[in-house]
Amino acid sequence: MVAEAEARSASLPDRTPWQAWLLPGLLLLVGLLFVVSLGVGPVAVPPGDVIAALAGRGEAAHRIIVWDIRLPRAILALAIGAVLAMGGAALQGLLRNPLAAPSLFGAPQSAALAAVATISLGINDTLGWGLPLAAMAGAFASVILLLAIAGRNAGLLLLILSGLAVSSLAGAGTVLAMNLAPNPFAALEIAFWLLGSLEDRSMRHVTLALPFIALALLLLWLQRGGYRALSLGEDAAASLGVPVERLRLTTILGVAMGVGAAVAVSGTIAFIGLIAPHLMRPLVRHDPARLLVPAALCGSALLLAADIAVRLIPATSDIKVGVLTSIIGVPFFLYLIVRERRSLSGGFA
Amino acid sequence: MVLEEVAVRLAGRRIVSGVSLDLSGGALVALIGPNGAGKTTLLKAMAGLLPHEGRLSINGSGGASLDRRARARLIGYLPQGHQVHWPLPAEDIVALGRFPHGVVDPRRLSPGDGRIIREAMRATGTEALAGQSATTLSGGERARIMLARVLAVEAPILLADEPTASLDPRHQLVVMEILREQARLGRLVIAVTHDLTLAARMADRIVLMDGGTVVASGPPSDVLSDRQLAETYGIRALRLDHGGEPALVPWQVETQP
Repeated sequence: MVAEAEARSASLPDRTPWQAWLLPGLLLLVGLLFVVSLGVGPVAVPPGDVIAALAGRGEAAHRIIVWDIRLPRAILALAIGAVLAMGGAALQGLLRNPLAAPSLFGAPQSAALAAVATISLGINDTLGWGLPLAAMAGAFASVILLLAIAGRNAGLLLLILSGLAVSSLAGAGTVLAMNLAPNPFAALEIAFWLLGSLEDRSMRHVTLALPFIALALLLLWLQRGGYRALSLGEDAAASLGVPVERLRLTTILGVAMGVGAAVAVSGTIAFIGLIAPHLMRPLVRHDPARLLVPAALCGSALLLAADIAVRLIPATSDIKVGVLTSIIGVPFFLYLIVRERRSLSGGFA
Repeated sequence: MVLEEVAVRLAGRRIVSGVSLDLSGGALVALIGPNGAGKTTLLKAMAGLLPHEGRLSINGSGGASLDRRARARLIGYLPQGHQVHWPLPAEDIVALGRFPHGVVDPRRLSPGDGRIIREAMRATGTEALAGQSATTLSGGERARIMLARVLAVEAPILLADEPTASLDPRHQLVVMEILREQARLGRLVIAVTHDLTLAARMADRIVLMDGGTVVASGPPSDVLSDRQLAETYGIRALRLDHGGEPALVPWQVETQP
């Protein structure tokens, strides 16, 4: 018995060897989807030619298509998928609740409202630095508002209801802006924020969003130890030396920054933050800290795949990627509700 | 741990006031009192989780001057209810006890940390549960895992809020034995409890609270007098003698003041 205990290494080992393959596997998947994303579209570019074009060789037409049209789109899908998923995983860690996700709490909708409002008021144009800043402020305000309504130790029901209220408010504000739009063109411009798309994005959009997204990912990742300790509740976490108040604020800041920057260039893309962490959670033994990176990679893969799918689905007019993620996401959300039904209908709301 | 005129206010209301205590290591202290007496509030203030007035010093240094990490290494705190929000494996929960010592990832432990975690699980008899998910554990198993988590902190002071609540009689005894063993090893163990029988038998010292303040403090035989029980709890206890060892059983509601 003693020998057996001694034989175990000091570290508690991963129970199954395949868990060591989780990150490499996800990285490979994201890499593959990235290359496919560069090849798919009205002009199909075979993977070999994609890699040649990236290296600056091959046909000039392919180089232009890959570098100028599809690369920004693929980079944005990668980054936005990652930050939406890690934002979801972080919020779920903070609130100890698998149904917590930025889109259910109205963060993207509020970011869109802030962006749309500043455009209608003529403060921002669609390619200025003011736009991501406004979107981030909108997202930040919405999460603060949500926590103010629901309270710190809110249960599922209270959070979802408050999120519904916040997102309805933001939605109403956005529709009002459309309603008051001076011309049909402006209304169309605003409608874009509601749909969520990665089409026709340029490197300008990438430089606009990427720094904030990278900062948000780093900020959230640094909080991972706190999320794990919070598994035991706020008092136990605080007694272990976790600065719970600061953790809460940093998480809100990180989520708002990531969601705001994402919405500023892509509009609202929902449900990635709900689906990706849920898929990865059993693979990391439900550890809210070790969840963050796999969730982010899974989010990237999901958004890349969705963005490839909208280009492949035969339709008379384009299907927006935000629409597709919602069509997939809502049934998934329903499934989660059924799973959590007991705690939702129980007294512990 | 020394408390001088400690008071705690929550939402403007004074929950605890005028508490002065001098508690030193190597003792199991039972913090008892009727519902609403302020036991949990006082315990949380001791753990540094609630702001307080008055002086509270730990090992000679003022509680307020300690930074968060240093305090976390000095005081292990076991909250009520043994809740776990995710189905984490039991060993990962115990490994959280090393968090104040800089362990961020339970997959990457130094040999020393690994040994401390295994020792904590041995002391609580939970080695066999290591890989089991927290949500599949029974109440008694979860209570022992949570206790192992607090032991893994290796803090000289251990604060436990109703560690035996909702446990079966065997687990109540097991948990109290573990706490008493920790006191024997030189730690100061303070446990909030409603179990007067266990408190009378196991505790080295009893602190009795009522109405937000300490009304009596001392050896069990002094504190748990008939008069004291009648005044604070409004009950009368049955006293038995088990081969020279006194036992106390809450028996009936005291109708006369």
